[in-house]
Amino acid sequence: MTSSASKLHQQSIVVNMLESTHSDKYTPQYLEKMRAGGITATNVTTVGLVGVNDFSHGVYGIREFTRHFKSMPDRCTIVKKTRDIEEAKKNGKLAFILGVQDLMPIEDNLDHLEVFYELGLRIAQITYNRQTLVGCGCAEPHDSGLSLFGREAVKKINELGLVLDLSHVGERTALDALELSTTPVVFSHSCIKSIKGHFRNVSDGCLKALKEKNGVIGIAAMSIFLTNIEEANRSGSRLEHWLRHVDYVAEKYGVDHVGIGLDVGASRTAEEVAMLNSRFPEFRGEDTPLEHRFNADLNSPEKIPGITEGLLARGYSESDVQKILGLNFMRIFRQVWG
Amino acid sequence: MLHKSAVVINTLDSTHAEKINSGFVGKQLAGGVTAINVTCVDVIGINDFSHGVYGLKEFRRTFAKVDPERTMVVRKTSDIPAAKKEGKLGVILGMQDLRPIEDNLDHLEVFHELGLRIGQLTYNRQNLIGCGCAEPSNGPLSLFGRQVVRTMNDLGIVVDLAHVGERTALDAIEVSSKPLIFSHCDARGLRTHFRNITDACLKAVAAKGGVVGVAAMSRFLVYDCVTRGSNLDDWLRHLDYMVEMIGPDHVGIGLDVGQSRTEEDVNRLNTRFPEFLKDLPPLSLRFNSDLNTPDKTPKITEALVKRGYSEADIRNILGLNFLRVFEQVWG
Repeated sequence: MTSSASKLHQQSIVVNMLESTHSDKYTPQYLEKMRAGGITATNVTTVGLVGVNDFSHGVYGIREFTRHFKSMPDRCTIVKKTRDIEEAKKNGKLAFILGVQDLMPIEDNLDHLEVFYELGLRIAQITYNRQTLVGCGCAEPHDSGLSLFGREAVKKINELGLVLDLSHVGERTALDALELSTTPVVFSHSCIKSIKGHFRNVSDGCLKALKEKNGVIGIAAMSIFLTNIEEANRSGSRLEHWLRHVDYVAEKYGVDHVGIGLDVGASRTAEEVAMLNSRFPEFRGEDTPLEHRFNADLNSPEKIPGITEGLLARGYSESDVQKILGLNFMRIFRQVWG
Repeated sequence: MLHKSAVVINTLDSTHAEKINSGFVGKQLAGGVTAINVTCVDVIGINDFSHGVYGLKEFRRTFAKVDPERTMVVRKTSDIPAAKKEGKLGVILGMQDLRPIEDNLDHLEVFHELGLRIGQLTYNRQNLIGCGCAEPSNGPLSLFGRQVVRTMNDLGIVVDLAHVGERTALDAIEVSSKPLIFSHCDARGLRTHFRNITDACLKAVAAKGGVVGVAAMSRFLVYDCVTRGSNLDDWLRHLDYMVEMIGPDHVGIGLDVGQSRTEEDVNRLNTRFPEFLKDLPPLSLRFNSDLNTPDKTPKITEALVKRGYSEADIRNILGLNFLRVFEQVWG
C-alpha cells in the first residue's frame, strides 16, 4: 500500500452503504477492524429478512441495534443527521446509520414509518426480493410497479427525510420510485446488469434515471453479482472485478454517482446462508462456496484501504476518489437529512 | 389576577381524542389552564404495544391538526412555563394503564421517545405490574412491576398511582427513587370508594415528595351523588382534608373530567368495568357542576382565596406542586 494512498484513505470520509452483519457480531474486536480500515459510516440492516416482519419486530430490530451501539459510546455513534458523520470522523468514532431492507414492518400503516424515523431509522429500502404491499422485488417475474400504498410510502419517505433505497427492488417499481421521488435516491448495494446479468443487478435504464435524480449506487462485493457463475464458484472475485463495476458507472454516468455498498456480513456461517436461501430459493441456483461468497479483497473491513489504492492506480484523481469513498453518499445525506 | 398569572396544571383531562377540537383548546386557555395530562390509550380498547404507539401518535396528531398555534406537547419541564408565556396549552401525554408495554421494559423507552411523560401503573384490574383498586385480593407490586417503576425513574416518566390498588401503590412508593403522583383521586377518609385513596397512601406519597390531584367526579366526592351530583364545596372539602393531612405542598388539581362525554361512552366503560355501576349518577350529574368545563377553573382560585389560603399556597396547589414533581422526574 503506497503511503499517499494510505494517507488519502485515512483522511477521507468513507461510507459503506450496506453492511449486513448481525448486531451481536459488532464486537469490540470487529469494531477495531472497522476503525483500522478507515470506515467512517456504515448503513446497518436492523430488521432481519428471514424473521417475522411485523411492526413489533421492526421496533425490536431498531431498538436492538440502538441498544448495542449505545452500549459502546466511546467507539460508536448513531447517525441522526449528516453532521453526526463528520463529528464521528473528527472524534475517531464509528458512525452507524440505521436502515431496513424491506418496508414490511410498516405493515399497512404509514404512521409506523414515522415511528421508525423517531426511533432513528434513516435509510429505507422499499422492498426486498418479493412482492409486498408497496411494490415488487427484483426476484418477481412480474413487476407491476409501485402500488397505490407504495406511492404514498415514497411520498412519506421524502417527507420524513429518509434516504430512499432501491437495492433489491424490481425494475418497474424502481423506475416508478425514481420518477416519483422528490429527493435523491440510492441503490445502496448493487452491481451492474450490463456486466453481469443477475436479477439483483441494476439495468442501464435505472442507472440513467438514477443519474437524472442525482442519486448514487453503492457497488456491492458479492462474487455472484460481480462475475459469472463459473468464475464466482471456482475462485470468487477480486478487487479488479469490483473496480470494473465502479468504472462502468463513472465512465458512463459520472463519478458523482457511484460509491461503496459492500453487502458483506461478518462471520457469515453456512447455516445463515442456508436459512436465507431457504426463505429466498431464488438465491439457490448459485451454490457459491462460502469462502468465495464475498470478494476476497473486500470481505473484511481492514482491507478497505485497498479500494483507495486501486482507484488511484487506475488514474482517478484524489477528489474523485474521495467522492467514491464517501462524499457522494454524504451529498445524498445532506440533501435528504439536512 | 392571581389565577391568570399562575401556572395551572390539571393532571387529568379525560376527553377522548375524537372530541378534541379548537373550542376545547379555547376553553382550556380561557380557564387559565397551562397544561393538561391526557390519556392516550383507551382503557376499554385493545391494550397492546401497537395501540400504545397508535394512541401517542393519535393525540399528537390531533392537537397538531385542530390547533397547532395554541397547543404544544410537553417533553420537558421548561415546556410548561414556556407554554404559559406563549399563550399555548401544554399537552402532557399520559396513559392510564401500562398494559401497552406488555412484558417488555423496552416498550417504555419507545413510548418515552414518542412523548409519554406520565404512566399510571394499572387501571382498575390486575395486570403484569400489580393490582388495580377494584381487585379484592389487593395484591402487591409484582417483580416486573418493580422493574417498571425503576425504569420509569431512569427514563423520566412520572409514576401515577390513580386507580392503583393500595398494596401496589404503597410498594411503588417504596421502590421509587423519585416522587410519584395520584393524578385524579379523592379522599377515602371523606367518602368510602375503592377509587379513593386511603390516609396511608396520602401520607406515603407526600413523604416521597409526591402530589395528589383532587378529582371532580361526583361519585368519588359524595355519598348522595346519584340525587344531587356534586359542587365546588364538595371538591374543596376533599382538598382541605388532604391539605390538613399532608400539607399544601402535596395537593393539586386532577379533575378527571371528560368533555362531550355521552351515555354511550359511559355505558361502554361500565360494561367493561361493572364495578363502576354502583352509585352511578345520571350523566348530567357525573362531573362536579362547578368544575365540569375547563373555563370554570378560575372558580378554584376564587374559592381558595376566600378560604384564606395564602397566595403562595394557592400557586402551589394550582400547579407549582406538580411542576416540582415534573422537574424532579423529567429534569
